Amino acid sequence: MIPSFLAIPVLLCAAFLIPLAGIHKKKWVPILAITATLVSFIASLMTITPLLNSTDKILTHQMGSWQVPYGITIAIDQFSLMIITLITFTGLLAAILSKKYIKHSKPEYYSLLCLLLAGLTGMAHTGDLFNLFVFLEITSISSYALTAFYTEKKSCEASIKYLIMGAFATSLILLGIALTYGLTGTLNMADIAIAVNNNPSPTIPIIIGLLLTGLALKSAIVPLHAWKPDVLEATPIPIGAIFASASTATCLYAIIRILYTIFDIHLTTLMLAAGTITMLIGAILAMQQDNILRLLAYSAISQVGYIMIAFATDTTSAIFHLFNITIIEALLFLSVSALLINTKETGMTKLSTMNLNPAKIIPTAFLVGALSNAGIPLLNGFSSKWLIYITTLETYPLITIAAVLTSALTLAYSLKAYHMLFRSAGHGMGKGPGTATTKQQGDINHNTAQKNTGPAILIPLITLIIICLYFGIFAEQGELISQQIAESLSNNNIYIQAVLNK
Amino acid sequence: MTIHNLDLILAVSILLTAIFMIAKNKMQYRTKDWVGGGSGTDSTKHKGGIYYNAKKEEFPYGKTKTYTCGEDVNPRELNTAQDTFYNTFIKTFKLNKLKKLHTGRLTDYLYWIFASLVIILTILVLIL
Repeated sequence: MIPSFLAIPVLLCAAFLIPLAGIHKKKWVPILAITATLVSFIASLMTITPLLNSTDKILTHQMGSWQVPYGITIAIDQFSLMIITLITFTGLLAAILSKKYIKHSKPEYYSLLCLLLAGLTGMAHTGDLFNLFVFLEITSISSYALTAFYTEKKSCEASIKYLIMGAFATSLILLGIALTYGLTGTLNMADIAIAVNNNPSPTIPIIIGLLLTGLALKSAIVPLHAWKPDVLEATPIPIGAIFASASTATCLYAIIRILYTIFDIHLTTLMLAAGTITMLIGAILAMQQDNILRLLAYSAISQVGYIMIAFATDTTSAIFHLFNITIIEALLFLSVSALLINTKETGMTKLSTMNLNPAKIIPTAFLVGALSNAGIPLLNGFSSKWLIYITTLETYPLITIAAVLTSALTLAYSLKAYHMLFRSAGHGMGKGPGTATTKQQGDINHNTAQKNTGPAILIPLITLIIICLYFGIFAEQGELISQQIAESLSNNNIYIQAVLNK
Repeated sequence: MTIHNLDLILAVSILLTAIFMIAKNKMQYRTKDWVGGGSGTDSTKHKGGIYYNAKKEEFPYGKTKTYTCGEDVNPRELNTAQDTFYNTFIKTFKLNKLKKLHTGRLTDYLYWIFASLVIILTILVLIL
């Protein structure tokens, strides 16, 4: 048994046990969720040693001891383990911060959080295309419910939009899977790769197109990004941190797994074009936002563009940037959620007049995240962006210019957000015209005496700041790990042989 | 000769003015008064042609005056609206058109999905 696989049953069990625990003792609810995510994270860390000691650097397991390709295959390589570790890690930090953020320890919130994480870890574990779809649906359904969590007009509208657009995406993916099964007679990824390689068919571009469009919508690649700002604005902010970081990383993982492992194609032109458009449009739209959550949503969209460009040119830099962006987005969203614990207001113009009285760690965390996002040296964002600039400069200098320009725009809107949230005239001078304590709070903690500090805030933010600094200063270590992952991705035969035991 | 005298008179008068102004400013800061609070309010009083805050509060910013459009404003009420940031840049390059495209209507977004699907399929059929 693969240790990290334990994360799926643990998170699923927690998702079903939390509502039961909520009936008797509500204070157990966040503790259960934190324990489940912590166990999942430890399980994913425990997989590192056996994976690196294995001959092919791939761990496989057949569910129910069925023979390949009939049973469900669990296959973990270095890339999927990185994604699983990132999912469980951001999930753990979000669960810790939610303890402070969510009032009355609402069981449904924590239950859906565990279900979301179970779906995401399942997507990264599976070696079966239909299983990938099933886990994607688990993720999607919990995401729709979490978006509508506040049951306000804005939340319901965002959730319905996401539901309809998400249904469109999953329909396309299901259609692609059905055509794949019709063409190859199998759903095992390794088996499909062999069948596709042996019998090239004119339907393959259509299959790739359907799968790619569906997953691109889930990853919020322009012009399929429209759901993301609405959803991130409406959902509880710790969940927004998972949507912007782990969810996006997992969907990008699915795209790369399908393109590289199953079909063994590198759509350089398409990835470059989509990446450049996504990067530029995301940054331009982020500049014009007043709502801090919408600004961060567009920022996350813009960073996906960088990752796509990197995948088209150099896989090492793409994997490194994927890792860094997951950490950075989690840091930005969690610092904002820590700041806005006492208010539901998210408009920066209004927030700049309010005395939110944040603990000192919060502006520091936001600034580190913002500067790292913009690619300022000594932070992890710079390490991976620098690699992207160097690799694209040789072959696509215009794209390098666009990438540098986008970094400048990122710095511009990040500093604007920092100024308005933490440095405006309303801060630090007693109660301004609209203090947080005067607002109606809804589901958010509204204890006016509550200061946004404590271990539930300090642990996630300090951990993420340390990671940002570590991979900024010791960039070569991150680069080395990414290079190993990129090498394993470059040859799909290793994956196929390991899964099919050939 | 006459020109020399004029220069001297001018230099001395500038020097004296400067000394007078510095001395006046020093006195002003020594009493820890600061200009502001809005003219004509209860908390202000007239003193030597300048309105001083009656509370003699130390100004926290190191600036002597905060004003907008010629009117003194209370720094505590001073705020910058979000849309003033990079406004010229956005309007010059007409970047706000992109924002206007995001109508919030689901039908528009579904149209985008359909258009994207067609574009992606066309490209893939052509290149593969």
